[in-house]
Amino acid sequence: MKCKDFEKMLYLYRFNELTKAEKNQLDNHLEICQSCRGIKQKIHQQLELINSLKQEPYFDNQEHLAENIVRSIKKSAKFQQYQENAIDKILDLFTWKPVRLALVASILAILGVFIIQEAFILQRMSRMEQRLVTRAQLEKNQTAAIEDVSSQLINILPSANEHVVIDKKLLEQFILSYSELQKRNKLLLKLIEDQAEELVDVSLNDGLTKEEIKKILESEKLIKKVREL
Amino acid sequence: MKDDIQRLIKDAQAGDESAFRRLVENYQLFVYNLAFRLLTNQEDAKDVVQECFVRVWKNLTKFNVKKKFTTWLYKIVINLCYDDLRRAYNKYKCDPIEKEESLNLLVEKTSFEEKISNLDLAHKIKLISCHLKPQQRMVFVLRDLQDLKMDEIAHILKISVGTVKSNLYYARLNIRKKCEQMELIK
Repeated sequence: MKCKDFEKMLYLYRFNELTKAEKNQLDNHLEICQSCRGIKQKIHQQLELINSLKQEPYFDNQEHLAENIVRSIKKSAKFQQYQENAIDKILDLFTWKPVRLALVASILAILGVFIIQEAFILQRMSRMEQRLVTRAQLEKNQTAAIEDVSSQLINILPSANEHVVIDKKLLEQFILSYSELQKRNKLLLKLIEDQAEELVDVSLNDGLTKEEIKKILESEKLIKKVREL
Repeated sequence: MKDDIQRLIKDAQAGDESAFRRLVENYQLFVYNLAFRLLTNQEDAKDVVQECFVRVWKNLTKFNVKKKFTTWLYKIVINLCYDDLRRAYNKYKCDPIEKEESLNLLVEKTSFEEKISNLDLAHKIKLISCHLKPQQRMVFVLRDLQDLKMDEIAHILKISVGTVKSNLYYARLNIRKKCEQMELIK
């Protein structure tokens, strides 16, 4: 064991908190260690100092303290009783039949208002949901129609010197589809624009060659031309 | 004496106000001493006495008469003082200069007796224990000033005897250092 360990024991030695074996061990060490004997001396002084602090502190007015404590307990008990009484009074109100009926009626009324409100909200939500479904269906149909028209146009692409006649109705559908596409499907629009630039502006009665179509396209965009129609 | 106390407690448990009053009279000084040694302030100690017996009254019906009444009082006082001790320790940590100045006043005196006698008891306890952590301070007060046994302290503070010993060692070591610093011991 080192001196530090014995020092720890010394603090308990002076206060009789060591076992007999520990005490013997420490005594043997103290015989040979001057430094630890010095610490022991200091601890002895410390013990004296602490003993001097054991005197009882002065306690004035202690004869009234018990009285004060009992009074304060009574006061708090009274207050507690007053609180309990107040709660009892409020609870007593509910034993009166008209009050109970009024309470039940108001609870039912609140419940009724709540249920009606909920029903309205549910109804509105289901209508909104229905509208959304219809709209989605419509959009789906329109997109399908546009794709259909576009594919028809693509199918009738003229070859280099071939004349092509496009049906007026088909053209109108295409215009319609085109403007619709402008609004909502940029990718498809790009596809049709690319095809259209290659292909078409149309004389309604006579077919045009691809070269003639291209010339017209060079001067004006398809969509402007179509709008003039 | 023990029987008398048990009878007083039983009567007080039954709602006998005068029995409770006698119980307070018997133990008020005991509670005051402990609170004073822990808080080193007369007014705070008085407040603790008041609050302690209010708690005793509120919980007296739950108290087992076969157990030691003073141990219960110790527990209540320790609980009531713990927050104040923690606050005092934190304050000391934040503002040690102010404390050191008061220590210097002590060093100016020449003899050991004079140094001690010039201060009141509260000041003395405060000077040597203000730097202790709350648990160390509680162990120091319970062991060295109240002369409680190790196992009793462990029971009151709800810690092991080993922890009590360890706290006691550090408390005494710190007190020694402080006393050396103030030249109270040489």
